[in-house]
Amino acid sequence: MEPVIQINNICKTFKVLNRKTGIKGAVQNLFSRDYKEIKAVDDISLTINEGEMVGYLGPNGAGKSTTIKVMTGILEPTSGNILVNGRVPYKNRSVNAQDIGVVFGQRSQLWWALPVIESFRILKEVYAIPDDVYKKNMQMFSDLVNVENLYNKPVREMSLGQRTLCDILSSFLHNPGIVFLDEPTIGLDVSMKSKIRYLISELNKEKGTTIILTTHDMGDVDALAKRIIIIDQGKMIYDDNIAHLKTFFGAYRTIKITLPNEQFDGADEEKKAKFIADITSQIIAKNEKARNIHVSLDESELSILVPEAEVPLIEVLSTSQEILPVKDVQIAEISTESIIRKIYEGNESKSKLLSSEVKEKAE
Amino acid sequence: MENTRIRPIRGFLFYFKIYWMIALQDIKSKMSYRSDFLISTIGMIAVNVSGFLGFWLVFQTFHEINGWKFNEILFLYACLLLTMTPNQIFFDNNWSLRYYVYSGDFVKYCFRPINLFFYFISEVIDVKGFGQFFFGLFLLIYSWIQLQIPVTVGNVVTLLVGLLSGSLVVIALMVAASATCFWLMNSGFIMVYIFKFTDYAKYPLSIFNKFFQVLFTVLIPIGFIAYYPSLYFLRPNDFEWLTLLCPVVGAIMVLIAYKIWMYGASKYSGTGS
Amino acid sequence: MNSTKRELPFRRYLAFSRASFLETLTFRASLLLSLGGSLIYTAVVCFLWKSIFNSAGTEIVNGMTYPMTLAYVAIAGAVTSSMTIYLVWDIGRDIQSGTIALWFVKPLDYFTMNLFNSVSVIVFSFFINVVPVFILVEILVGWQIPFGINILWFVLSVFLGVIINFCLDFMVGTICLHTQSIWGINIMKEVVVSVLSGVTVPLAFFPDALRQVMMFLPFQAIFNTPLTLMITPNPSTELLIRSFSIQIFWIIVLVIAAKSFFKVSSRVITINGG
Repeated sequence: MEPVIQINNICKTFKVLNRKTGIKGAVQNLFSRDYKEIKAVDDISLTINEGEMVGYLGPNGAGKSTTIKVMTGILEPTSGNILVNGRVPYKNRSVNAQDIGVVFGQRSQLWWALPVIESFRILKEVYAIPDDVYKKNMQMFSDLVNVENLYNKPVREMSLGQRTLCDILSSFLHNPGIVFLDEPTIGLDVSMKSKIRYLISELNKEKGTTIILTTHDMGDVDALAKRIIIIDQGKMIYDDNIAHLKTFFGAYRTIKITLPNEQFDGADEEKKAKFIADITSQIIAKNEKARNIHVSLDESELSILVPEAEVPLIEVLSTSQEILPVKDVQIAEISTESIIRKIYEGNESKSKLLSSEVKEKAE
Repeated sequence: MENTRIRPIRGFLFYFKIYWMIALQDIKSKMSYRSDFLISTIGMIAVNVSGFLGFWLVFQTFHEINGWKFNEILFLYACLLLTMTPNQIFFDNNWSLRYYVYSGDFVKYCFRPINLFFYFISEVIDVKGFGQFFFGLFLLIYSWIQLQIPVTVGNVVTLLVGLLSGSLVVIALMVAASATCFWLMNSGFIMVYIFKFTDYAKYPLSIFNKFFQVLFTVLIPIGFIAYYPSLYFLRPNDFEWLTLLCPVVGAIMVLIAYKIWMYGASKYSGTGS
Repeated sequence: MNSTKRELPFRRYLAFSRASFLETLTFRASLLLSLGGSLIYTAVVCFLWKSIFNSAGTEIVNGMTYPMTLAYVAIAGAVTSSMTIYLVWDIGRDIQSGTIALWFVKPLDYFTMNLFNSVSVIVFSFFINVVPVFILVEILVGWQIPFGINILWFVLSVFLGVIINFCLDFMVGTICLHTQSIWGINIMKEVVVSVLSGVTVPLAFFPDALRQVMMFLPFQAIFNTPLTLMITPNPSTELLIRSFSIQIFWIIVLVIAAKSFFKVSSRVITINGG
């Protein structure tokens, strides 16, 4: 397989003003020359092959969008090498743009006042798409999702989901080698999310397009990505397939306990939180080794994440049965969401300060 | 796949075709919001009429300004309105630039394989500018007749060249002014000020002292919008050599403004916000 | 709950004033450039009117001398730019995007909130814009504009003018509930105000009949009234009483009009759901 993106030791630093607060500080800011440097991307190297679908994850302000901007050629890295489709992207933004597609979940790039089909026709000219390619792609689009009824609607009259759908289609119109999707399912309802995931995965399969997917939605990752890259505070902290991820932190399993339905009818968040805290402390009181369990509550299902290296699953289970009104029990593998959260949390404790600074600049 | 990808040559015809496609669709969609279109056009003409009232009132009391008669000022004003029109109609999206930059939405323009400035500017066509065009044309014809300027092919061609160069100056000033938002937050007032200054192009430069004559010729060259081109008609016997330079000045200014804008755009994405 | 009752009635609105004041300060370079713009504008106005008066051949035209006219026009320009805060746009956007509904559920009055917000921004930019321009004008005319109690009357009267202008802005902003065209509505308001208030050309230069009509409209109370007080060396008590009572009259009328127009219009929101 051919590598389509090759990044070696990329860094990107920004200069920001040290802003002071309050009225006195605001006056000082007028004349301040007090800048500090912030590393939004810190020594990242990676290779992405043709046809891969990569989930690109990280908490807000981790440096995701900065990396994407470097890859799309609108940002020049401070140091390091990058090749996209065999070219240095920032040296020729416009040539690079011919071979990539970009979608932002909430910023439509289609012409706001025009019907979608007119936007497509303009894009056909902009990318000089041959007639047969255009026709073939349009045919494929209507086979994949039922969109013809949207074509004559101006973008500004569309719902967010319809707009995103059209934006994704438009980004594949010129057969790009790589498509960047930045939070494509943000703000969408469940059925629209699954429709969009289906569309992305089919387009990836049929066209062999490399897809880089940034998201905060683990549903997207589970449904689409085989490989994930996680960055935090500008540094890459994980790059491998999802299966491997599950063993990243040793063995974890989740006990899922279904509680009687009426238990939390009409209960507010505060009450639920109190219940969780209560259960957690009760379990720890009976099993000292269980201090790193994580309890969460969804409707009437209680999940207990158990680090099996520290405490046997069976002990936590029996304690739970003693103190809870159990209706049903299931043992599940750890979810991607829980792993990612653990990775973020583990990394965050190292340096909380830096991450908030990067956040200001890089997002 | 990699080998079959097309590398189009993007020349003038390519951009013209795309602009035409967008313009046609955009005007169609604007016309469907009829009351907005009507109110904006009336507002536009109201601005032009108030500009006219500004010096008409002065001429009710005074009979000339520094040797310039009412009809001559009217001619200058008509030229100003006409030279403002292309900027109004085709470059109106510049007024929104700072909102896109401030919110970060500007980044969405950066991913197309076409000229960034063209892509941004082509998005909006401001139809209310046509009202200004017709009002200006009316004043021009009226003052032309009143001043008894002979209608010859040479005069008409010279006028068109003059108006075109003036338009380029206006476009250049506004493009450069809008580009300041790439460096300064809340830079809208710079555009507002430059826009206000262009309004002074309706007065003859000779009423100012040397300092301002140089300022308005070199630094904020509003003299090239209406004054220098019009001298050819209003002071045919002793117009300045700068009058002949108008087309060159217009072309150079547009080029510089374009470079500033593009540089700002690349710098903007460089800050990453 | 009792403690909130003892709070000053306008205290929470003052918090808005402070916030928008801070926001303005942070736009650093803008301030200096804006000042430069004001000063150049003043110089341009100076030459224009100097030429006009030179061509007239007399010192006094329509009761105005050159220094008076220059002060009038230049300060009018500076006050206008400090009053330009795009309120119509803000309200229009609030209405069209539907965010105005959020204000209805807060324990704040939309009119009062905007008033405090605007006034604080304007007071700040008034000092930034008007003080330097005033000094420049004085230098240009050799300190011929009196500097005494008339300045106090002027500042007081501008303050009232700001409130009148705010009411007009607020009403025009409310019109955006009924049309999509914020630009068109706003520009028409600006044109009407700048012509009929004396900003474009001082009221003294208008034909008599027209001026009589304009004195009965609220627009001249925004600019012409304070500017006249500024350039009049020894205003008679009668002039003062008349000026201020006309301004206060318009404030009362317009506050009532703006609030009731907004109240009537906001029914459209509550009925149509934004």
